[in-house]
Amino acid sequence: MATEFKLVIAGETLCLLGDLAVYWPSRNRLMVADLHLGKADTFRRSGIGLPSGGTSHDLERLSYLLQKTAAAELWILGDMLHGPAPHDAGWRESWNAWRNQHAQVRIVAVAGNHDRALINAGLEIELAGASVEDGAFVLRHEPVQHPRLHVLCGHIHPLAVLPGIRRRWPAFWLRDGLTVLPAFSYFTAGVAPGLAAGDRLAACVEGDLVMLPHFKASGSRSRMA
Amino acid sequence: MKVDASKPKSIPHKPLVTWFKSRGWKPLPFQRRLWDRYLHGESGLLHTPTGSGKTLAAIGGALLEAASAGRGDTLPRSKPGNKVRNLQILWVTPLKALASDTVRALREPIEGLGLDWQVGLRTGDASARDKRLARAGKLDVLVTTPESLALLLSYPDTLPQLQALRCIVVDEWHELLGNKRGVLLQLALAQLRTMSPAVRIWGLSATLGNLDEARRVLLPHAPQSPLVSGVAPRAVKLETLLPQPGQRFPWAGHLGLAQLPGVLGKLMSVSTSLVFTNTRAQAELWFQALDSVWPEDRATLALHHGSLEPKLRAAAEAGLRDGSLRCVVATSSLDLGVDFPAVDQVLQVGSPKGVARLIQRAGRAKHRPGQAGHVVCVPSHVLELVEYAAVRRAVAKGDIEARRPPRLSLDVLAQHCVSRALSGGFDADALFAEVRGTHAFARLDAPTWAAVLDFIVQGGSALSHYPEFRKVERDDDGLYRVHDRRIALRHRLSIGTITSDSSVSVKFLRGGRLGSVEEAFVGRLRRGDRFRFAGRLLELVRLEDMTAYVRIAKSGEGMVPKWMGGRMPLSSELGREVEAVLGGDHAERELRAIAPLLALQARLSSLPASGSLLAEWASTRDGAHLFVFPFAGRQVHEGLASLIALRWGRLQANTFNFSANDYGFVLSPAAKATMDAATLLSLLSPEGLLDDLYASLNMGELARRQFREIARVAGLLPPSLPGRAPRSTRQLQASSGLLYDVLQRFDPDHLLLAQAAREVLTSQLELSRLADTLADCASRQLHLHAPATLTPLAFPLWAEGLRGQLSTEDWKTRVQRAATKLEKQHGH
Repeated sequence: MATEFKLVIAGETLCLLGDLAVYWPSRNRLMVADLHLGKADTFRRSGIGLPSGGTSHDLERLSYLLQKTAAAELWILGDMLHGPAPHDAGWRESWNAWRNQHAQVRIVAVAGNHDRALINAGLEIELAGASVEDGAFVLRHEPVQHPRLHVLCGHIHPLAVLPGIRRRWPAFWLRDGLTVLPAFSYFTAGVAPGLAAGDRLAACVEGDLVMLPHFKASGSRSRMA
Repeated sequence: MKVDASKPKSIPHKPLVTWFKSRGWKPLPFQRRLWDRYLHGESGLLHTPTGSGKTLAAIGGALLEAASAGRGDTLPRSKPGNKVRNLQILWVTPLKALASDTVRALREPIEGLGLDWQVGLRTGDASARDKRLARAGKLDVLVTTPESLALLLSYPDTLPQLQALRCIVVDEWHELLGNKRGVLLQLALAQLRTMSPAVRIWGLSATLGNLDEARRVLLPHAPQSPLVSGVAPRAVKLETLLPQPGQRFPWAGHLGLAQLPGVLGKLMSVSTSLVFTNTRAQAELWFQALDSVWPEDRATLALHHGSLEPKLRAAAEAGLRDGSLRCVVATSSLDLGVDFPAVDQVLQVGSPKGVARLIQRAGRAKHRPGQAGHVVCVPSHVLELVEYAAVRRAVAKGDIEARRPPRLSLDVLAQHCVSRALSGGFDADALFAEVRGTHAFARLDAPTWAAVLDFIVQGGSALSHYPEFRKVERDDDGLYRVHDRRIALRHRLSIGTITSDSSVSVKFLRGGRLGSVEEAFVGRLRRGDRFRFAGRLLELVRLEDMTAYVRIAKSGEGMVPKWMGGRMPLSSELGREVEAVLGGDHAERELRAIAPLLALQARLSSLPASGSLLAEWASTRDGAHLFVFPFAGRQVHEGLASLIALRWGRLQANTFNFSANDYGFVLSPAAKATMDAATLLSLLSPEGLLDDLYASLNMGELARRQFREIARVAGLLPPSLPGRAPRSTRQLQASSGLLYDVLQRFDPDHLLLAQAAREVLTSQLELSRLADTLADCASRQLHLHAPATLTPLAFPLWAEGLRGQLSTEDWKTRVQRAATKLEKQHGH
């Protein structure tokens, strides 16, 4: 168990962080996926009363990571937003303050399926479109294999199921040619992916990473305590 | 229009008596008593078994009143051609399956008395035409369910038709008394009483352990109203289908298919039978098993459960009525309702679960005056034989369960308030006074009421300010209203989903609906997977818009969907009786049949007996387990298990899996632990119970689980109905567990979280019974055995698998342990 795990892909080193992010040292870049800014606001706007605080909490965790890694760039691999981004949205205030606080950080967002409102949202970030090739990697939202390059993506919100533990943990899903990041936002559900041969999960447990051996999680109701 | 309660004595029974005579009947004394009381303007509660003439008892007074008015009395009578009629009689039934039978039963005397009355129904199953009639005010008599009534009351245009209501009948009140559907109805009744103060309300109930309380809950405004007894319940004769000598009989399980030949023999010995099971999955499997060996025309065997399409259910009911069916496999969907005179025999597969329930089911067979009801019990595992012997004793003693009415269900109250805001708006003070007039909210205090209003107006506590939240708004005139059309639509869709989980409609490719299954089940299926539903083997073709399109599969095996809420606990009355039977002289037929098993239990450990508390500390391949058998019912055992886990974990940090059944509970420590009698005694101490329970609630998952229903009722989970997945709600999907975590983290004082904890403590764990049980355990002689293998009593608990977990370790330790274990099993 450690707070990070080094992964070498096509000669490039990536650090998976137990705090639900990836750090790419040679680019001095932090990457996260599925931020879902303003999710609770979307619920409230539809008459479902949920407390605010989730967005601020997610941003605080981002601040902590930027400070810890001293990254110059932050890339969001899709679903930066959850829903519409009206000008009176409560989360904008938190975002603007946060953006000012990290004014020197370059922030780039890859478009995700929830990001329809991102183009006109005016969040002071760069929009990179649906897919970006960068060195040995392709950065995109949805997990679609690339013929040559290794794909870094999000979208699925992978979770690790552990025998004998009801609670499920956000996880990195490590596949051949593809690495799926866990959802960064606290207020997200997810799925336990069906693992193919060679796949592994790295569970994020309160800031630490736990590498799990390959196993079939689905369907077994065994009594392992 | 006013009801004149001073005169009605002069209204004679003659028109009804004449109609009775024309059918060769005579009114029973209790029916006449009830008519008189009604005509005197009284409300009350009638308790009498199904099939004893309760419908005519309940409705007779209102019919006589109307017939008499029709002969020139002052009572205005609705005339044909009137644009809008005022509803005269409202009939509330808990099961939509009962509604059409009730309509039929009401029409006969109405037509017999020559009343120009339209009878209609409004339930989730009702046709579009019926729904239209009900809303448009073309009816004099309306048959409905609590949920459909709540929905009706949410439309401002229907309220005027309910202003002059004369009579409300609540059928099968015992089915509603102990749950939130009953609370929803209490609120609706309070509203109707405000609108027509003279309305007379009559409840109909089967025998209950707390009839007087049932009366007070239904009629909180009229504490003097009478409790009328109808006919005495029939005696019940209980026959057990014993396993053949030498037949291997399972220690655990819930199917009982080993008994198939015996059951088939019973079915062939009479012309029509009802086979009751405890769950829908069990019904599907038994139907399949019988179908595979059915010696006759397959059309004479049918299936009936609550998830089937109304058309399919109606066909089975019609077949029972006209005698064309030889056997229907059913769940509680056929527990209630008008009689099926053609039914000769009732079978019960698996545990009887409760005394009242078995009596009710036994009563579904043909009534021969003076003869006892008869039920054939089919055990699915060995210990159920003990339960049959126990239920026979309880029936003989008349030891019937009570159903406790819930209090302060704030989720239901929030739902009701939004409905009121929809139907023209409400004044907060007036509504506060009105809801405090119900039993459920009699103790509602002003701060809690303010918190409920904050929840629907502010979206949270008054301190948080969410300008974007819009649900209920307080207008300038001081009334609370809903203005947003989408909110209104979603709220109406969610009324009445109190008991149902998100479900997916099952449909043939070429049309033809079969019913619905839970989304969680279908979600696990892939295209081409086979499953059993509605008595057929189906193949999933595709899943879209909350509809599973299927075709008949050619051959092979299929999974059977499991529906939530199928795990009904044994009643505590029955649990105590089971312990007494086990500790008794074993003279019963059922107990003699399992003598070898009892001997094994006695040899490995010991038999439970009153005055002693049995516990076992045993090891299996998967670790050590502590079994304790207080026989206090599953709910109490679940509470005890998490309490003991917490206390044990305090002695030494550990993680415990636990499960409970009706006999006892098991704790399985993940890290090595020891156990001796002195330690166990200290863990079972009644001291500090409340504090420890609260602590174990938060650490365990009970409150999180309980939150599911609360979130749905209070409107935190947008409804997802079969065939509908509007784009607008896709962004609003979140599981109740996730919502619970988010609230827990960012608004820990939320009123619904507090309610989840309260519900777990009071209704789930039954705090007072838990305290009694601990005190009782302390007074008993503790016998802690260390058997070499699992005993017959322990095995079913062990086989139950993981039900709950409580840990005093940190997450990292637990995850690391699980990962290490995985490494060992699948390691590289």
